[in-house]
Amino acid sequence: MELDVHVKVRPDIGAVLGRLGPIWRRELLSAGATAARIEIATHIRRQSRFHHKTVERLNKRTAGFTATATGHLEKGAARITSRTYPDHAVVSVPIAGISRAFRDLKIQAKKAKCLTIPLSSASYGHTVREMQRLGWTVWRVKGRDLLMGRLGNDQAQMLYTLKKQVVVKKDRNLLPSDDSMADAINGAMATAIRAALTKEVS
Amino acid sequence: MTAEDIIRVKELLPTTLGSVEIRDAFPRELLERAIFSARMASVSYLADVRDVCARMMSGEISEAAARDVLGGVLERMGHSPQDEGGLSNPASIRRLNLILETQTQMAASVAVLQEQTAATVGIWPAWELTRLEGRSAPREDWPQRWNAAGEAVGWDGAARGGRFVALKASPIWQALGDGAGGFKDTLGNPYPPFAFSSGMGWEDVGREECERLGLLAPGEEPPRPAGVSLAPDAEELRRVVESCGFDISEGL
Repeated sequence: MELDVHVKVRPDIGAVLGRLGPIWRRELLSAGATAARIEIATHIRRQSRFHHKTVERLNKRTAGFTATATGHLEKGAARITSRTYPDHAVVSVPIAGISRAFRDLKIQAKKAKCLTIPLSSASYGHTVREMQRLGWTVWRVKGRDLLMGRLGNDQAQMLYTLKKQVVVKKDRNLLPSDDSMADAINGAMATAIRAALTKEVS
Repeated sequence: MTAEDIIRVKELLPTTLGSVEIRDAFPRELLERAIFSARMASVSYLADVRDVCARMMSGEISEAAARDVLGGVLERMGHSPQDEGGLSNPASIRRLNLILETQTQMAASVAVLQEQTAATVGIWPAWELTRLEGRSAPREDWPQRWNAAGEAVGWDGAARGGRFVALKASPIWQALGDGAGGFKDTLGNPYPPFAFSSGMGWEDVGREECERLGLLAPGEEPPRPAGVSLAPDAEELRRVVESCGFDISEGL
């Protein structure tokens, strides 16, 4: 999944970029893209500290199991990359669902009939099939959108609620603001221009 | 290349060897461009690993979804997460997370290294090795690893004591990946992850900070790191052409 995000380039930098050949343009854009990569990674890492509500709620609710956060935001932040072309740059953020920084995210069941929303620390971060592989017996409660499960002779517990679709509300805070991105990118390109000119003079 | 492409071009390396034996038996350059897993001889399973890792890097699937795919494949091969063996059990959650996280972090590191230009190194001349991902039992020996790697390369471009900061071109990164000091859990690469299951990764460090740490003098041009090439070496091509049994040079 790719998102097109357009960042306002400062007029003076834009004028320089427009007159440069492709090699120099790519060089300056690489500085801008790296600044964007750093800005996004730092922001997501900071945000990830506030996104453990689900696992904290489930841990309070579930006796006998303590789930740890899947860490999908911090893992994704550690894998952000950029690549630069002569006329544009791409920053890849390998986090499923990151598009909800810009819009509500509607998730629908594709292969399965329903989505499974974890209700327990035991099922958090695991698919139903993985739970079964781990030795759980999982069954649907008749007439209800609920999956129960039991491990061995333990007491049965609610594992998942079933939904046809869920809408995860837009959260613009997942990614840096347009202004902070533009500041980082423009700042880096300006620094790269100054550094190159200084080197040329000396 | 994107991190996704870097994964997709990797060769599959089925093997019955364990992780330490693999490091001893194969050259680093070969392992760097291969998808492998200790004691995993199934080519089709490794192809699935490659595919799900690439899809993770494109943001198409999550780690849990990737693990679900691989768990299904392993189940059909007769493996179960309930089998004993912990990390040596290919179907255990820990082992699946390990292979997914290692391959994706390696690809991301190579992609970042390939994007280093004179401009980027000029602004951010160094990396800092720091904890980017939490672990339930994080290694506590990073200061010892850093010191051993620093001593091994005479602290060339690397900061002593305290923070793990070094110029992007410093040989300390290779020494760290080689396990200088006798660490056997490393992957042999000059980029993160430097050890199996490690949550330590790179953050870029700006020029001013490098000067403050004494890694660069004012006005000194920072060296650029060696690029990482996943291209196969000429020797491999020569072997393949010879194995074809005809003189291909005439056609060329």
